[in-house]
Amino acid sequence: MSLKSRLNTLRQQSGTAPASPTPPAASGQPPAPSFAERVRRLQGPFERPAAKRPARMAPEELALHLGGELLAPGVILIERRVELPAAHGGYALSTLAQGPVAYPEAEVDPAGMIFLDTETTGLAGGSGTTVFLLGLGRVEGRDLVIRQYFLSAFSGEATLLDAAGEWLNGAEGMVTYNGKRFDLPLLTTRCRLAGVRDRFVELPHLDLLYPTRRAFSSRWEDCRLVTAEQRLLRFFRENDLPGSEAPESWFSFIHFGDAARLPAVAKHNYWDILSLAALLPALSAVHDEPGAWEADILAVARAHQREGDEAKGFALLRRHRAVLDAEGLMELAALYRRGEEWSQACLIWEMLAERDHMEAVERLAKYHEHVRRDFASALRYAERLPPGPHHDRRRERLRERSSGRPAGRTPERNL
Amino acid sequence: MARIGADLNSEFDDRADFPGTLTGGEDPVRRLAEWLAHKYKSRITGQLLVPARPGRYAPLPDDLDPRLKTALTGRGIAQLYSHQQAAWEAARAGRHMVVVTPTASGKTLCYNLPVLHDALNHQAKALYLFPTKALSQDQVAEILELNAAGELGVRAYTFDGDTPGDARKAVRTRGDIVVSNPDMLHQGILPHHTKWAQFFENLRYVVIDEMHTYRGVFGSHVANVIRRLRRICRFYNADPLFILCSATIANPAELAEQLLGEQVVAITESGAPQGEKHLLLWNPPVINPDLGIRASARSQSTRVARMAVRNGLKTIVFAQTRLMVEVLTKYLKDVFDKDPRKPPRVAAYRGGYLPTERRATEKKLRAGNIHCVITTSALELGVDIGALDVCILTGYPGTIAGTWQRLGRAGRRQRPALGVLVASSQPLDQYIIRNPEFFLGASPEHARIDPDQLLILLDHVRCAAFELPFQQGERFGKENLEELLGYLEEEGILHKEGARWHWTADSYPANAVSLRSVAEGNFVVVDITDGGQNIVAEVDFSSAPMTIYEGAIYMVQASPYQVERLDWVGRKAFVRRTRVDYYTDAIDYTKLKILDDFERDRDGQAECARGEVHLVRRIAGYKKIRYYTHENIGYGNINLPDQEMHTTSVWWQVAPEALAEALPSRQEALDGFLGAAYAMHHVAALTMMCEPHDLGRAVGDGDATWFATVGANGRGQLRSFEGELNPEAQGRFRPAVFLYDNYPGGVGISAPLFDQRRAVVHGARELIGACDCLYGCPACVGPILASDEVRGYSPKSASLKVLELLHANVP
Repeated sequence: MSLKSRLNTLRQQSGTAPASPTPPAASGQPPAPSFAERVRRLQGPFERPAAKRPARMAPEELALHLGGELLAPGVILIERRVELPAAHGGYALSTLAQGPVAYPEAEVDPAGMIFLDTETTGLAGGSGTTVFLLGLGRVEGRDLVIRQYFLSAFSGEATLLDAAGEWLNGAEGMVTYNGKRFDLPLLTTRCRLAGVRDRFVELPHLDLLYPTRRAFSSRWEDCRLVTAEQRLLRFFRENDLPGSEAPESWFSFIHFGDAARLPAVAKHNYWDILSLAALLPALSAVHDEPGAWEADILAVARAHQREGDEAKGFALLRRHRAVLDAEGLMELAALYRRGEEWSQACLIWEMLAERDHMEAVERLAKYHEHVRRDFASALRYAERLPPGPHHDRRRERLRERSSGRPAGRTPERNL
Repeated sequence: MARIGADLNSEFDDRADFPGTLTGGEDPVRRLAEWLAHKYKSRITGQLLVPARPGRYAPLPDDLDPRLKTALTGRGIAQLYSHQQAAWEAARAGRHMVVVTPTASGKTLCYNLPVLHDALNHQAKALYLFPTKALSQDQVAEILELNAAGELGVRAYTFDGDTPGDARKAVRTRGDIVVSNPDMLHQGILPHHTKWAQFFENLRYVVIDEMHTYRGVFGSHVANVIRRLRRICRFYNADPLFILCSATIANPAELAEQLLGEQVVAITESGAPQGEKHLLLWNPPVINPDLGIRASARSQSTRVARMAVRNGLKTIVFAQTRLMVEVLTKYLKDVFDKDPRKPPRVAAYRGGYLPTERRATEKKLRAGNIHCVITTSALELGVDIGALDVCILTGYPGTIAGTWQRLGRAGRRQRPALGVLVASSQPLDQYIIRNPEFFLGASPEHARIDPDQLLILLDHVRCAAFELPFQQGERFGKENLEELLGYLEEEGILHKEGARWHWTADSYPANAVSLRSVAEGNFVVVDITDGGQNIVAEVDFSSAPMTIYEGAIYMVQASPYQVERLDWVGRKAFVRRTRVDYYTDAIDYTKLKILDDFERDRDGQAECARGEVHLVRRIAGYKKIRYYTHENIGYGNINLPDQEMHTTSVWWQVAPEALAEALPSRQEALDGFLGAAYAMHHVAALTMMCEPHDLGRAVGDGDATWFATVGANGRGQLRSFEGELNPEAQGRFRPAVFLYDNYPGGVGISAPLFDQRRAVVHGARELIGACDCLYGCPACVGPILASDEVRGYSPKSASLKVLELLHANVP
């Protein structure tokens, strides 16, 4: 039996699907596979009728088909320039030229940034995943320049990574969307396998997924890039190739020379880079004025506080007091308390206490007991707290204090 | 009857003091050994005394790093055992090696010395592979102690499924010694080798401990993982030295060379001192001579265990199945843990318990708080459980190597130790116990692997292609690699460009390949007694159908739980604590169809062939068996998906005319075939030196129309999955005995079995012919019922007739 039919029979029975059906061998020793059989095998199971599939293009022709040029064997470079006055969806790209933008964790100048996004052969990770389209963007003068490096043969990988890496020269940092977990480790792996210097990890890196999640994970159904661009940039893609189809598009090109869907993949990646660039100033504005974007004000304020700008966080909460939820209000009250602005803090607690927010009730009980030393009021609040050893002790103590007896052990009446 | 009465009375004599006239002297182990040999003389069929052996030593090597010398001296090690020195010299000479020495002979120093020396002097990195996570943790603890003693500053970390995500990077970049297991290497390290680049660039040693566990299917997978490891090492220009360690097997050097694909030096002479060892071979007494029924191994084991524990000896009891572990634990707990206020003295330890529970038991064992542990092969490996005095094997473990490994669990402290092998009524056990010279003189088994088994090889070629593109001219295994790559190319997962094959699929192939079996994910056992959902155990995929069907009694530490619902897809069994006086045992049916034959041998009326078969296994129901009396008190149905397997088999048949002439009653013929198959299965396991469950057994027509099984009435039945058939109503009647390779695709047992086809029939005939029973018994043709005397023929003679037919004109 041929190796192939041995494998197919075994795999069928062990529950794994074989590559393709093999005609049942006649009993006894099956003959060696015929020439036709071998040709059929060479053609592969995914072969579709030849008429429908266009012939494999010559490299130059393919470059033209993608709107680019042949950079080296196996590498096609597609370059596009977008003048900065242009709009991306409802967002003016000119903001990219207006100087540094601030995030709680960093201040970055869009003009010095590299915007990076990759299309890959899968999401599984590991050394078998290839980057076949590496998209980069950066501001040059009055233009946003997008360069896409397309891998048209495995042999071009080292050249591709080198050429793209060189274009990073002079950049101050890198901006990605989920690049920390996905694109950058993958590029490191590819550089290692191709024996090329990894210039990508050398740049400071801002991954916009994290600020997006911080501001919107409690507001949006998901934080994918397409969601962010629709909500923040008012950009709606038309005829976009779903990212999940990118691997299959490239595989049918590599296996059969079918380049039909490649322009759509390039377009998809191009939009990703544009959105990435526009999101950099847009998300910064969100962090400045979260209320205007229906962002999670508390989360943004906390980020400012965590990164050392407590005043900014405090100011944000004060400004948005009207729209804060109970947790946000409690945080604001806590900031007031820390600054001993008791009247402001009490206003919030009392409002929440009316809604039976037990933490606010407890705060009020403490405030009246320890700050105002108004034990009767403190007891009124404490009476509303749920039973439990901790609260019971407080109530007991307050009953004694409000009835004028000193705090401490209950006197034994009978003695 | 007198014998039975005496036996029952003696159930209660195990607390007796030993008479002072015995010569055992003061040592309690020696006293117990002599007492047993004296008191139960008729049950002891063989005895062995391995005298104590002094150690052979060598000074610490001159060229050993002085810091390491200080560390060793600090741990009280002033000289080496001779085998440790031999390992040091082999490592200095840059030769791969396999070290074969008994438990507690200091084999870890054989690899720790060269590894630590080169870590200190050349920043050399080392990868340690252990078959289980528990062993990895022991190992790291040991290195850390040595480290602390000499302030060596060598960093050793475990890297396995339990390593938290944020610690993994530190392990990869800073670990000098990374301790892991083959599964993690396969799924977690090799596919991400670029993250480990620094580690691989400096990798100088690979240590593979417990090598003997890498046999059969698992070993065949591991050999391929090592091929992949060496391929990745070449990419980083590393060529590490391999140090393998093994318990005793017949062919350590051969197995090491198969795993490695390179020549190795074998170091087999242990220089460690050894305390004297007593071994008793114990056959339970016959309690029903007519049926050939002996007292159970279980009853004898509990008795010996009770005596040992009552005399203050730390005892380990091995059982063959997880179910038997639970039954024995219950019986011993009923004796020793009656008072719930006292900490338990008896504990069970087996696969399927949660890791935390196992760790806790190990700790109590080391601290000496547990007096008796009942276990399966789970404790056969080098898990550190401290010193034990007595080891009782309930049933022959199936292999000679496995028997010695288990016996090696007692006597670690160079004190006298006692081992008792209690035979069950299985034919293999009875053969061993009645021929003690066979067991005492035989060499241990060969560990066989077949790294080029086509499906296994294909799995790993796929994984390897993901890790690094294959180059034209590269080699991987013995099959034609280019043809395999071509196959994968045709599947669309590889693309050939120039002289390289690149991975072109959106998948992570290692996740689809399990090294241990064809298991498709473990089942968890969820206790819902108190409205909660507590996971109390895990069950592997292959044993799930036999253990956690709805209605099954599943036991954890001898407490019964009843399975209420089995979520097959979600891999969960929901159980509730219960109080019942029975346990459950599944009944399974196998039907089998011959697809193709590779070779056949006609010999008169008998024919033997080897070929491919397709089999379908159905777990049809279960029996409820009452504790202590072991009577069958009811049946239940099981509704589970059938399991299919394609494998290779050897089968034996008789021409229908000759069969009809010799055995005119088809019922009698059926009983004969079932009895013959039973004996042949066990003889084949012995002849092939494999474990009985490596072979499957079936009697059927080879066309999946009918198969034969022993029914509730003890008679052979002809069945289809739909129900019972009348044997006389069938057309041409041509039953066959099948012994098949119990793994999809086969792992190479059927070819040597076909070569031994006559020896198997001959051996089975001898086994049955020499048996003391009258009508047949569990030791020859399988269990028969009392009513079998009235069949009008004996199953034993029917089986012998069938074997004669199969034997035909053999010289």
